[in-house]
Order: sequence, then structure tokens, then C-alpha cells
Amino acid sequence: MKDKILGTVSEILGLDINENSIMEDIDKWDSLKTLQIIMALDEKNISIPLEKIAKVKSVKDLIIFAEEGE
Amino acid sequence: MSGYNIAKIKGVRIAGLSACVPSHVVENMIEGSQLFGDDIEAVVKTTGVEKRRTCPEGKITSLDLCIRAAEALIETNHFDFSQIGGVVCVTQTPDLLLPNNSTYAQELLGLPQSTAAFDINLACSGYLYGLWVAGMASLSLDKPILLLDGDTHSHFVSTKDRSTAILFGDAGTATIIEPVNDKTEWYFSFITDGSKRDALMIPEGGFRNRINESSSLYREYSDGGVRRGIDMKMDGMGVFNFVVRNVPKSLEYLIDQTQSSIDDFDILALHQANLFMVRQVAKKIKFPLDKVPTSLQKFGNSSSATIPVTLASELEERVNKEKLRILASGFGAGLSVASASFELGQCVCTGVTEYEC
Repeated sequence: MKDKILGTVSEILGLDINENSIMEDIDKWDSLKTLQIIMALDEKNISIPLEKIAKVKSVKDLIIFAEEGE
Repeated sequence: MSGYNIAKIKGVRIAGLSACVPSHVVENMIEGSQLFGDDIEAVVKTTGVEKRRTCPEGKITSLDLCIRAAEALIETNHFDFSQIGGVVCVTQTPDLLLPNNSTYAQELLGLPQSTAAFDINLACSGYLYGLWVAGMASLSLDKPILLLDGDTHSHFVSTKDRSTAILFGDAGTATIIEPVNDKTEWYFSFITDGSKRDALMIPEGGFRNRINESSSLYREYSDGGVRRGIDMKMDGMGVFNFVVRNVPKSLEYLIDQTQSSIDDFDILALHQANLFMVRQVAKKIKFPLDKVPTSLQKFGNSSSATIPVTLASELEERVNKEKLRILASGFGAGLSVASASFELGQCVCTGVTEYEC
């Protein structure tokens, strides 16, 4: 799952990212991009709980929240 | 469940429903490409808004669109507008700050001078508030009420602000609510959180911050948006967070209060903010997506008008023939939520007509 998340985020941001990447450091990563990431993960059957979406600030958050959504 | 109030209205029905949109189509894939570059395809996919209808600023207003929608109902010859007891206009884009739209609608539609007329200032929760108020007025007057609901929020938007630029369309609608000898009840529930008013606001042009010489100057803000003081600012994630935390609960409360199950409802009609939000709210309450009509793909977000536009656009044939039980929720600026359980049909629905522009 972690690899799928890393792959999806990299693809959507068009950048090489890693587990420690955070939103604040990446100019292109705005809230619209977060929604795009969540939608793309949803299509790959990785669910981020709805209430957690606004709290996503990093790749680590995505991984933790996706584990909660399992 | 606690923390909410339930409002009930017994003995009213929707007799007519009509919507009107400008004929001018904005193609987001084309018009949005300058602001979003290569990302435009992904942005359109995320928001769901492929096309929008907009009218020329200062030439065609939400009142014009609402009047045209009402005229479509008159043209069916099913209604005697001389019997109308009141006109309620829900809008945040009135022709003038003073007087209001509804009083001029009385003149434009040739309604009797005995007509009660007033406006309601609400955004995306406005239509369901309008149904509630119009239902009560209809019972009080024992007469049909004309509910006009329209907005031209495309005029509030900066084309240089990524959070709002491609979302908003313009529309006007007309709904006739009349008393009926029937025991069917409509239910409403509301949520208001004024502490979050900054999440969606037009900072200048009201009386807190009056329009001034710099109101029309474009400035870059800390959220990255480039806009004027008289343009809308939106914290999209803030609104999203409020919606996902409140709208599903509000709908579940109504289902519980009406002693119903999801299967008892034919349709879930949600404010057309963006496709992802609509689907997530439906999924959260386990409402089948094939019973959740959407129209934002072709019309965009017309604020308070999206629910009647969606009902008229996607259900025209059905509501002319059959009775549908609707669960609905409108949510947005305030922040404000209005949810409702009501019946629609069998009634006159003229679908969506176009205003040439």
C-alpha cells in the first residue's frame, strides 16, 4: 500500500517524492492536489477516511490515514 | 440523536418546478487552461465541472433568469398566477441593494398587489430554507407561493483564483408551493456555524467593509489567490471539512426522525459543490450513487439554485409522472446547512430552459 501511495502522489505532483515529503515544502501541492490524490487512491481501493482528508499535510499522513481506512 | 432541531410542515405540495440557465456555455478545459496549465484536465476531473453557464455581468441578472423560469410555468397554462399569495426570492445576487428582487418580481409577473413579497439572503443552503419558509407562508395565507431562487455567482469570482475560478455558473429557478389536503409531512433540519464565516466570503462591498477605491484592484493573497476585495474568497478544504463532518450526520438525523431507511427515498439531491464532495457524502450515508443525480458537469455550481436546477434537469420526466420522495441537503456560506425530506411530483416540471445571451 505504501508503494501505491508513493507512486500516486509522485504521479499527481509530477515529482519524485518520498515518505518524508510534506505539503508545506512542495509549492505545487495545494488542497486541490490533495483531493486529486485522494480520488486517485480511491480508484485504487485505498480509502482515506472522509473526516481525515482536511488533515492531510504529508505523505506520512496519507499512509497513516489509509491504514485507518482499511 | 441530539443537537439538532426538526421542523415539520404538513399539508403542502410542490405544484410546479422550472429552471433557467444562460445560453452561454463556458468550456472549462479551454477557459481554465490559462490558469491551470497542464493540470486543467485533472482539475476538471476532481471538481466534475466540465461546462458552466454564465450570463454577461450587468446585462442579465439572477432575477431575469428566475422570471424566465416562472414564465415557463405560466406558459404551461396549468397555473393561475393571479391566485399567488406570495413571492419569496432566495438570492445573494439581487438586481439592487434596495429594493429587493421579490417586490420587482411582483411587477414583472403581474402578480396582484395583495402579494406578500420578500427576499432571503442565503447561499447554497438557500433553496431548502426557501421551501421551508414558502411552505409555512402557503399554509398561513392558504394560497400558492412562488419561490424564486437564483444566483449569478460567476460574477463574484476572480478568473485568477484557483480555488474558485472554474466552479461557478449562473441559474434561476421557480417553484410553486401550494396548500393541499394531504397528511404528507415535509421535514427540515438546519446547522449554522457562524464562527467559520471566513471560509467563504466576499470581504468588501457590504456595510462592514464598504466598497472603496481599492475594491476593484487585484491583489495576491496568502492563500495564493489573485482577486479583488469584491470577489469571493474560499477556503476549499475548510468548507470540505465542515461539509463532511456535518452533512452526513444531518441527513442521518432526518432519516431517523422520519422513521425511514435509505431505501424509502427515491432520490438524494445534494448541493452541487463538486463531484467528489457529492459522491463522498452519498457514500458516507450509504446512499446508492445511481439515485444521486448531478448536474454540475454541465451547469457548474449555481449556489442556492443547484438543487432545483438538478431536480428540473435530471428528473423532469419522472416528476411529471410520479411522486418521488426526496432527501436533500444544501451547504455552504455561513457556514450553513439545510437538509430536508419532502415529496416532489406528480407535478408540472418544465425542465431547464435557456436564456439567450
